[in-house]
Amino acid sequence: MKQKPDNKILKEPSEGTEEGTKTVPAPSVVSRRHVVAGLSVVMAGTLLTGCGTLIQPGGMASGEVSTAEEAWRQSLLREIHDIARQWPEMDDRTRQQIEDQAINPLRDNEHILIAGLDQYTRPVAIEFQAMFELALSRRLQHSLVKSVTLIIHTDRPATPLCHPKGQVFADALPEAIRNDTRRLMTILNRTVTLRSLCSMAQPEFRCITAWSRGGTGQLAATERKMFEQAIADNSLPGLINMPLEAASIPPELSGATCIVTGQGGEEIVFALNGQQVWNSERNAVWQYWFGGRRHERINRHLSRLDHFLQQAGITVPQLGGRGPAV
Amino acid sequence: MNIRKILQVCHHCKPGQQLFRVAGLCLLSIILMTGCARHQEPIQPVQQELAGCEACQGEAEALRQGMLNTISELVSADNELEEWQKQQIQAQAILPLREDNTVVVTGIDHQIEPVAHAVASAFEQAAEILSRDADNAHPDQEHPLRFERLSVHSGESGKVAWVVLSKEGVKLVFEVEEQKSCSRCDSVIWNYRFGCSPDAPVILQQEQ
Repeated sequence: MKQKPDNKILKEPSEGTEEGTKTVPAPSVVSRRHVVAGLSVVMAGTLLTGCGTLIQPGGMASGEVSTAEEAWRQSLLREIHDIARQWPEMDDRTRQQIEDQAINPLRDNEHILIAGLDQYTRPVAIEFQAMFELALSRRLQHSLVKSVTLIIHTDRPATPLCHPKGQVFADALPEAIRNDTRRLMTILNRTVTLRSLCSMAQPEFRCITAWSRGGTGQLAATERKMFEQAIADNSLPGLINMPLEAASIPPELSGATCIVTGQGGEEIVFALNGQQVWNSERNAVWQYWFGGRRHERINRHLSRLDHFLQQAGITVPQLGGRGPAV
Repeated sequence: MNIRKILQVCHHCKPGQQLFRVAGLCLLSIILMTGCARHQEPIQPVQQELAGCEACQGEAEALRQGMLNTISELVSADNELEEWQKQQIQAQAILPLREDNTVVVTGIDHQIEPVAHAVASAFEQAAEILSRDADNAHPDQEHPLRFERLSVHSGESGKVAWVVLSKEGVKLVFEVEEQKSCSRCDSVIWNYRFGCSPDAPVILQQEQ
């Protein structure tokens, strides 16, 4: 297409010279084609990525969820889905249940409950947690996250740290668990995934095991020894032992909470509420929160946990509490 | 109709290119003036819904909590329910609904379905009691005046909804919805929704 002579050269108004005139430095040829092409690029960028104003963590009103956080959440769920497909020694039925009862519902909801008999729900809820830990390890290895704070807040020290890597002290467990391969596997798999996370040497990763006063006294001798070894283990630099001043943890706060900050500053919370294996009852209700920390329900859960931990003598700044960092 | 004349292009120009440019510039102008769609629709906090809309000024929330109290009392007093069933009803529906107006419960069908039915039954009883009380109540007493039960079934999924209308015009909707997620592993999702929804009766009737 030929260009119209009038549009061939566009001269900008001059500024900054004594004479009030200035020659526009080359290149000064701007055609309509260039303008259209430039605008098309901007438009395509806007349409593909959004306008960008939501991806400013500090600027969002409470309760809003940013596009970046939602994208991060969905990509992690996809990764967990892929991990579930390759998860070793898991029957297809459990695999399908994890997909239908945890992964898929969390795609559309930031908070879900998994309910039913402990023998059916524990493998779904805890294997899902193990898969999350593995996915997080991978992201840390590839520097895809800026920082991770994982807090395990349970009456006794984190169960996987009380058993050797890849093994379970079956004798130390309740009889119902000891005779249930699927529930035994939940402990065994997490002895690997949690240690893998804690072995991360990055300064931006920390795993705090916070447990009630007297929690280690309730452990079997083998479990206590293993836990003490894990705490002293130099190959687990990310692990921090934090005994609480509280005598017990309220059932609705027993579990684990992970706050992940992405490279873009987005903050994602992955939290679980449930009972430890020694305290399992016949019927169980597990709660999962997964989403941006500004989501109302997630924010509420973090506030309650923060309040409890502060009363029990621990301040975790990442939870929103003020005070010296642990 | 001469497209070249309309677009004011000469015979050297292709009308298609010009149309593309005009459309592109229009779209860009719209985006720049109004912002992108994602920016316009941030996910609203649940708490905002609970606070009550301008119309009801929080009356719906007071009525909602009152009905949850009645449901809780009915469940506690039900001699046909075992203790663990009562605990499950509290944990799966009543306690979460006190804080949020939507609850998503997943599990194996035969393990969580009885809880959902017990919740639905308790709600209907609570609505009947409050409705009956309202008939005999003093005009100044705050009670819902009537309630309506609506059922919607679609394929393997089903939804039952109750609409409670208070004399102040507050419309509360309680929905219990079952979503079969997998027939191979018997997984199921139960959604409980309980909140103020002025348009819900109309929507539900249209679905029927």
